[in-house]
Amino acid sequence: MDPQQDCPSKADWLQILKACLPGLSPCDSAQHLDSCCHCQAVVEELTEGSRTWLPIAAELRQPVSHLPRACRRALEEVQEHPFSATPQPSDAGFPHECAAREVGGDLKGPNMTPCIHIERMLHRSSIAVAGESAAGYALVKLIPSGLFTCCGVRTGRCTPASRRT
Amino acid sequence: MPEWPATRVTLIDRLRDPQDREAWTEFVALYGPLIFEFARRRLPQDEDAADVMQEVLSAVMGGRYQRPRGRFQKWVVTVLLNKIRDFHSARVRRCEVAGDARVTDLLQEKPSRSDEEEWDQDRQRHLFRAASERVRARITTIHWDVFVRTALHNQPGPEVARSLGVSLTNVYAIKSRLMKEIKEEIHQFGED
Repeated sequence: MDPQQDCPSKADWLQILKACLPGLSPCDSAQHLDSCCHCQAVVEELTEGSRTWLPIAAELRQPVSHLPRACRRALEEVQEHPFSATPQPSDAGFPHECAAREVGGDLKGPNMTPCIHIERMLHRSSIAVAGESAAGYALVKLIPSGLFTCCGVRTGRCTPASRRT
Repeated sequence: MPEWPATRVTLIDRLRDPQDREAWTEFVALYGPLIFEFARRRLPQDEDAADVMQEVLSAVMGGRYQRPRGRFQKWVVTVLLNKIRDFHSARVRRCEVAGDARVTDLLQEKPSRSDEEEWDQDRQRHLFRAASERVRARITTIHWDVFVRTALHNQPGPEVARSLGVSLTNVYAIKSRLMKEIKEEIHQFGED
C-alpha cells in the first residue's frame, strides 16, 4: 500500500472530506480513492474517531428501551400541566440545605399553610392525597363510572378533562 | 423545531419564565425518562418511579434550583434521592414494610459517590442517544444507514459503498460529518 505519485496528502484528504458534500457527482479524488488502497487506509484512519467516540458508539449500538406506560402517561401529564407544588423538604438539593432537613426533620417555613393536596394521577388511575405529616398518606382507587367518587364524596371537578383538582 | 440552547443552564434559566412552554417541553423530554429510569431501579413499581419523576420535575419547575449554590446536576440528583428516600420512609410509616432492615438502612444513606457516578453515567448515555436522535431527524435514511454501518458497526468503507451504491468518498464524508455533528450536539448539552 505504498503511496502513488498522484496520491493526495493526508491534509488534502481532510479538506476533501470536509468539503465533500454527499450527493455530488464523483470528482477526481473520489475516483482515485475507489482504486487506491493506500488512500483508503488514510481516509479510514482520518474518520476512525477519537477515544471519546468509542463510548458513544457503544451506547448507540444498544437497542432503545421503550418507556413503560406509567412513565409515558406521567410525562404527558407534566407536559400538559406544568405545576409548582408546595416546596417539600426533599427539594433541598445542596448539602447546607440538606442539613436543615436532617437536623430539623420537617422543614418548618413560615409560608406553609395547613392543606391537603389532592391530585389525580393518570398513570395510576387513582387519586393521591399528599400531606403525610398531618394526615398520613392514602391512595384511593377510582371507580370509573361517570363522575368520579372519592371516599364517598363526589368530586365533580375531577373529570378526565380537568384531570387535576 | 427549536434549536437546543447553548447550555442546559440556559434551559434551566428559561424554565423560570412560565410563558416559555417550549423550554418546559424540552426539559421534560430530555430529563423525564432519565429521572424515571434512575428512580425505577430503586423503587418497586413503575408507578412509584413515575410519581417521583413528577415530583422532581415539579421541584425544577418551581424554580427551586439556585445556580450560585452549586451545579444543577448535583442539585437534581440530591433532590431525586431525597424523593426516593421519602417514598421508602412513607412506606415504613404506613407499616407496609415494617421491620425490613434493608429499607431502614436505605433511609439512613446519604447521596453517595456511587449514586452520583451512576447518575452521571446515565445522563451521559441518555445525552448520547438524544444527540444522535436529533442528528438522525435531520438527515436522510441512507446517510444514517451509512453512518450506522461504518461508525457503529465498523464495516469497511468500500463494502458499505458497494452495498448502498454510494461513492467511497461520500461514505467517509458522511461518517466523518455525522460523528462530528453528534459530538457537537452532545457538547451543546454540556451543563454547568
